Amino acid sequence: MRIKRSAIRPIARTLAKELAFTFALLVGISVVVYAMLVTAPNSHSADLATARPAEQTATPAYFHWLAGLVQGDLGNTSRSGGLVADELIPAAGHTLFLIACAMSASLLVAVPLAVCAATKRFNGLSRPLLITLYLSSALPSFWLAYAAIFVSTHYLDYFPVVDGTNIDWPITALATAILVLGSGLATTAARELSSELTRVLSQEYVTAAVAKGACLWRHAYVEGLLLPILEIAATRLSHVIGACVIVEQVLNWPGLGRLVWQAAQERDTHLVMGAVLACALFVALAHLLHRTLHVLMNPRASHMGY
Amino acid sequence: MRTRYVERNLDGAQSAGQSFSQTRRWWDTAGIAFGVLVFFVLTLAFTASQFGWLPYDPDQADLDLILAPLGSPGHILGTDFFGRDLATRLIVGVNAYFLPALGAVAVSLTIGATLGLAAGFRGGPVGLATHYTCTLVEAIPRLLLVLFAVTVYQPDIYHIMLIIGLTGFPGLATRLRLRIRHLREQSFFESALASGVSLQTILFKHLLWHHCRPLFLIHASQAMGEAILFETSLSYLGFGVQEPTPSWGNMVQTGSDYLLQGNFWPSTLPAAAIAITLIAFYLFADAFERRAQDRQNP
Repeated sequence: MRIKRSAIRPIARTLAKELAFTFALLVGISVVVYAMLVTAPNSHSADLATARPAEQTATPAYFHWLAGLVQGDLGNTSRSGGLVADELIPAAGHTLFLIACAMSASLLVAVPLAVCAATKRFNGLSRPLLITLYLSSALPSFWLAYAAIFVSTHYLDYFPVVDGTNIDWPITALATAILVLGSGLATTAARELSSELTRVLSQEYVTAAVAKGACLWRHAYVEGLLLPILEIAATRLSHVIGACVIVEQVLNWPGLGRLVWQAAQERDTHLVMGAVLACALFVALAHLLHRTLHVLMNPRASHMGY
Repeated sequence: MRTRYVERNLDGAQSAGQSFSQTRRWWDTAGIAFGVLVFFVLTLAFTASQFGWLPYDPDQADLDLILAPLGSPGHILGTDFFGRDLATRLIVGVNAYFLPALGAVAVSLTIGATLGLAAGFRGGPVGLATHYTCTLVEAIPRLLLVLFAVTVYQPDIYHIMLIIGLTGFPGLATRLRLRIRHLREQSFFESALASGVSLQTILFKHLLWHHCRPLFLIHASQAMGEAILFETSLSYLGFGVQEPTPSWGNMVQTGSDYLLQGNFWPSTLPAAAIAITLIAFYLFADAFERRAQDRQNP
């Protein structure tokens, strides 16, 4: 990746803007969550938001709450009384691992399919596969997970559910979770990638490159594949985290999703709040990373406004 | 016959000429017809359950006929673990999401249209503010936000769907912004202004109604599918409609205990209903989008 000298200044300016934007985004997220806490009819939740230090200070309760957040003080869970952060961090690790696996697996499927669809090669194989994916992605994941458990216990002789919280990465549970999480992701990825790739391949610089006898992919892969893959990974992250709640609940995967599900049943406001903030933080950071890589790979983007 | 050509997609960006043929048109028509048919069936089921035109009482347990299979006499779609008629419960289950989901769609269309129009027409700071709002809303996973709201407020299904509607607009707002930004560069916009047509007429009649109608319908269809998915997911997780009131989500949930024993029908039937409904709404959106693009690039 070579960047022209004259492009360094606009790129730096864009990156600074993106950094400020992400900061504003994090502030906005905290305001939304705080507003929900304050307006809660449940007195326990409201206490959490307006808890002030013993000596009355002039700073509003929001800033006090925010200062606690920044220092990692998310309060205590109501069921065990332990720190929320102590429960969140290992769970978040498990979920991120699962999401990373599911995303890589679905991209491994989606990229060849998209290339086939865009270049109109192997249509006989790729079209039926795409249609199958499309249909399977509409099946609700909570049923798909049970069906996967049924098939694997009855026909493949293993039980793909994590037992207990002491996890040693059972590969069968991981494979089932990836299958269930990945089918929807692979469908959207394949569809968006193929439409973007078709658009790029019909552009004039690609035609010129082909006419000169140059390798097509050397010129088109950044705009046609890398940038859309980055965008899909960044924009779908929030949906995948949502889907994780269901998949983890069915397969008993000890991640953030299952934790939130349990906490919401027990009305454990601190824990759910911590999980929402953590997920929003992941998504905002992924957005920042996406924008940074996007601008570095495609310096033209630094000239575009909103 | 296949022709390759350069077309503009609905956002106004140039996109590649897809090969388009008579077969594809036929498929698009079929997709649209399927979507309309499923929506009609849902409306019918909703009306039937509102007026009580049902084959059985959805809560009436028949303990002699537990887990009757598909095609049993009297119970065409079988019965569940209490011997309740599955067909009846499937029809009544439409009640759980039909009106709330329509409300959610209306809310997200209104917000999306307002933000998209403002951002596309004014640009600059308004565009930045819209971009910020959309990114902010998309940054918080919707299911987690709903679970947080469930923990904090203990809302009913209408309030949950209000949250789904309030967080469902970014897709429409973004597309509308691109589309309007493209349209206001066109000469018809300038000539309408020059000939003294009021700005209100141009914005709402010329831009929104004449040029962006397909976008609204596409978004409404997708948003309806999403709202149904959220309602069923929440009922499945135990936060939406509670047993014994049927919802497709809690039917899958209660049936899944019997799925692992090999009695997979009571949970597969509602799952199939969900899948067919979602496919219908998504197919409708896709087919309608291609149809609108063909209209635009004849």
